Amino acid sequence: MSEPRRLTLLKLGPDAGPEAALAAAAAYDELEAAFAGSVRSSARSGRGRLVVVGGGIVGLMSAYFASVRGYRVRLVERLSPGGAASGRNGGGVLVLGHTLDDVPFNRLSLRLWAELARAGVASELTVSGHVMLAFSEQEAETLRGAGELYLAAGLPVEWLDSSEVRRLLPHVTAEQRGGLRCPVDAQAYPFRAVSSLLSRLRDGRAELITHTRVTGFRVEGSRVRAVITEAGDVEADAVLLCAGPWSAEVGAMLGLPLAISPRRSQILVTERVATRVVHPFVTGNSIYLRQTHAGNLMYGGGGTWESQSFDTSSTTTAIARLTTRFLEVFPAFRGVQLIRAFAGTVDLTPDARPLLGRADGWENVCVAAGFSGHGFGWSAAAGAIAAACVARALGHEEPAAGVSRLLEPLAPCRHAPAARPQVRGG
Amino acid sequence: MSDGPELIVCRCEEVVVREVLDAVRAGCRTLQEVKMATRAGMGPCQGRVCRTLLERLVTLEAAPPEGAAGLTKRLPVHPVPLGQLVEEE
Amino acid sequence: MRITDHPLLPALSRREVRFSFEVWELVALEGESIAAALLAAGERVLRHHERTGAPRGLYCGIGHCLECRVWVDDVGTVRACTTRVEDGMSVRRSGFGGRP
Repeated sequence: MSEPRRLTLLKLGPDAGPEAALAAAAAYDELEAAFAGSVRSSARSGRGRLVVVGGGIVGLMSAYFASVRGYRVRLVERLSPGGAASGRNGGGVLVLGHTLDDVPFNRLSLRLWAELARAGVASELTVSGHVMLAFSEQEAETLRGAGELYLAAGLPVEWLDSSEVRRLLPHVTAEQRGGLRCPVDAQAYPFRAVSSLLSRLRDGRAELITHTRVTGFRVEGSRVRAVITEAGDVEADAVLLCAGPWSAEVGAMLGLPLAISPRRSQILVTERVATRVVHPFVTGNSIYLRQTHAGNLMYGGGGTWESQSFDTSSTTTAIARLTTRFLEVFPAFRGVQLIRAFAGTVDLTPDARPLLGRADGWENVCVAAGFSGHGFGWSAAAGAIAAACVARALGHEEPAAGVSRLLEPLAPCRHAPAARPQVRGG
Repeated sequence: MSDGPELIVCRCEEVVVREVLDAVRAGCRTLQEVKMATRAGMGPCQGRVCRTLLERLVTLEAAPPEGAAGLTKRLPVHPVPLGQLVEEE
Repeated sequence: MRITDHPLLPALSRREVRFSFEVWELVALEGESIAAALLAAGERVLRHHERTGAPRGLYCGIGHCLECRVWVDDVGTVRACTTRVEDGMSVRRSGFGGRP
């Protein structure tokens, strides 16, 4: 094991402290009060035509929550719904690992994913827990400290020593030094989640316009009146941009500088394995991994070494690197066979926090993008919050002051103040 | 021996004609979308056996948009034990 | 069922090779594939589908479809149609795939 271990999925900064943890716990209470139960039609807020640009998991979730609120939703997707990152991710619905600022949102998302499952949106959601492994005494100390903060932030976590980890993960390497376990983190099957949302939406909740490119917007002053597509204009009372890494391109059509850039992240999948050999979601050693509901093992891990582009080809360098790291965690799996390597494009923002809220300079445009590699897990919260942003933009609802405060740091145009919007289209 | 709607299209995931047609009827328009909805093409052979039949079924039934990609072909070209893929020392 | 006289392929060696399949001790001819040896022994079921349990066996015979995958002790999952029997090999139905 030549390289130092890396806790790449532990985002807590060195400045995270007890005060911030308590604030995170309080923040979750606010979000829960505002958004728990968003799945039920008691969340109705108003009428109007919403056009969602982008049919990934965030667009689909937003369309769903907006339809629950009573909006007439049309979703425009350039290619296949869920066909990009939404169908190429690890399936984690995690809270452990996030910054304290993001913990309350991801706790909300976890809760909403469960509500959706109970409401019949099948996703193979399994509350399997999540273990983040330490491979050195220093990492163990870092994780134990992080555990204290997560507990104060309201997330149940526990430290497991190496023998406890071994009981939970019988095939894990003897080199591990324990791990931090969160019993409430979950995993889901992206294809199933997308299919299920599509089927719910198609069942009278939304009109899906797929394989259709957005080419511009028809505007009047600071209001968007329609989304212009290859197949004609789609009239809108409000627009929601959920185009993942393509959001910058779409935003530019409205003169919006959305600071989103693409980066590749590669994933590897093995043949099905006989028994349940890995139950929780596992992170550590610079990778994440899980065993799917069907029995395949999958593992992946991106980083600054990856291609900063829309390229989704698999590379032998990454296959070798990720497999080496995977086998360092589970040496017993060296005989298991790799059947597929694939990749997706992550939408990164400069501060790794999403763009979620109303766009500057436009009365009726909201954005939900830039989830920086955590979009799948974030998506349920993103959808509920985006739908609320739409309601606010249409004047149907004023969010609680506490929620507004929490959303301020996620303002879509925070990285580059929008100049006078210049519009392409018509 | 099954034929008609119960004919196996994808042997690896045991997906039959009926399921493929159901997926198309539910709104799937491309091979990739059918794969996402049914798991056809996701097994160990990665579509080597079922690709042709799937393409035919989807083309006939779904009228995929022009230029729609088929099932993507990815590494590895056949299954490889993980131990053979590690970085050189 | 074993092809011993083929218009193009050379005759198989007469030397016997012993291997086991599940609980049975079987005999193959040197140079035969696992699939051919099992077919000769009357065994067509090489595995069961991981989800449905349906019996599966040789299909394409050219290493393409992976239907014939079996588990060889100390080796792992192999395609029975492209893997030669070795003396002392222990072969099992792969059932649900890899067994770490």
